[in-house]
Amino acid sequence: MKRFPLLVFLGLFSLAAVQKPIVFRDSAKNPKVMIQGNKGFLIPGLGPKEPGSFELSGNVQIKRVIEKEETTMTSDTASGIFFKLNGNTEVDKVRMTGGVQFTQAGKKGTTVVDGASAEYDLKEGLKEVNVSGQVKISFAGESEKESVGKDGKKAVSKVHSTMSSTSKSATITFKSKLDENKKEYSEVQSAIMRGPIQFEGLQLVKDAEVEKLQKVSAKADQMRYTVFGASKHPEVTLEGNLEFHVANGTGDGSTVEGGNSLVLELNEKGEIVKMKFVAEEGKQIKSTFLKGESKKPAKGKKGGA
Amino acid sequence: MICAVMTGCGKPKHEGKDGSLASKNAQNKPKKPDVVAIATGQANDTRTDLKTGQKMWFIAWESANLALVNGQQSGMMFKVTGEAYDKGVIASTFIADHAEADRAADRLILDGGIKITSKTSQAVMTAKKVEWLADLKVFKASGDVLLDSPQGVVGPVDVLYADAKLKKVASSKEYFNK
Repeated sequence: MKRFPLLVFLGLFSLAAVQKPIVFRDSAKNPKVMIQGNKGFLIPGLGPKEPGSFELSGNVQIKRVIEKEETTMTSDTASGIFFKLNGNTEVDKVRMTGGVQFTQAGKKGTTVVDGASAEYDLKEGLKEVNVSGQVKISFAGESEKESVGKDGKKAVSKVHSTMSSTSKSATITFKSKLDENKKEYSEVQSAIMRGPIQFEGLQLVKDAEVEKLQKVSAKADQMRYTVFGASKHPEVTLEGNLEFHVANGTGDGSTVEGGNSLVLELNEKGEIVKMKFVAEEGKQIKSTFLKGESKKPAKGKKGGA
Repeated sequence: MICAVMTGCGKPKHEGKDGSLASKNAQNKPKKPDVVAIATGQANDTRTDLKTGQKMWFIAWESANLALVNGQQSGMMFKVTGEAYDKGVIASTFIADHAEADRAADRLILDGGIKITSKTSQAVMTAKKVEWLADLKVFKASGDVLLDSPQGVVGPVDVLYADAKLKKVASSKEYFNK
């Protein structure tokens, strides 16, 4: 008797394992939009006057491909509409729940957003994603670095840099652009994260003309990531209950508490190239130096900015 | 056009002549259905919803091996073409290598070389086997099911349910209202 439920479970599991998902593509060859899930329905639509809709569940995946750039959204359930825009099928008003992951692999790296639920909308030419429930955003940049070995030979290696941030909810906006070959691509225009923020990034520093990366971590109430800031470079602004820590490769570093905002200017690879710490006049700033692996405070000082 | 008519109908074979016990036992057993086998050439058939009086489907065939079971027609039809209706209006047309119809069970099954074309959306569905679910007015397609429309492609998938217009497709019949 006890074996029966196990056999039923195994039977159902094997059935689920072999079942092909229901898949929609906007065209059979070189599809730009692909939607799939284990269960649910699809109404492809009857053109611009009658947009279609879908409701899917079980390993849902929505993929958009523009040239070499891929945007993939995965979740347990998803619903939304599709319609024709300039002859192409577009998805809009997408609502996703359960283990949501949004990945955009583009020219300048990969952006990954994790959360419990998400809404994806097209708004005035922008693509906006609202994510909530223990959100994590990772911006991974990749670049090629040339170095000269002891034998004098040049070597090219790939350098990865990742900046990540966690919060309770986030709004990420993507904007479509044209590259030098007039090919469309989209990149993160802005990201606003709310709730307790835990930020992790890498700072590019020069030590005796040698470039090194050191870890920067910060806590704050809110974070704004803006690509088109006043400096024309990506910028991260952390505000509210600010605390940040900078450490070199050995773990030596310092922690700074207080202040109003921390503005981090990034290069195209997502590395921090400039840090600006802003504090109101007379605001109490606490700075603690940490030594080595143990990170025990070695020395401290207090003072106004 | 009916070409030939044959096989047993009328009295059950084992009925006693004298009204004996054996004869009574035979009478108490469930009565075998009256079967009339018919081989036909070109012909057609229309199924109507008895509640609404509206057409549900129409089918025409090149040849068929049909059977009349207690007055209800069933059997295999070859080289079929037909129409599926939604609220009495043609929603889609279909072709298939053969079809199996059973009026008593209210079933229509298409098999081999199936192509169903929507009259409203230019959508075309192909599959190895398609069953018309009369109660829902929905196609249940199975075996490399593919739905191709100007809006996009659904499939290939093992099983797909579609309404008569091929407007809505789903993974199960639960997504269609009765």
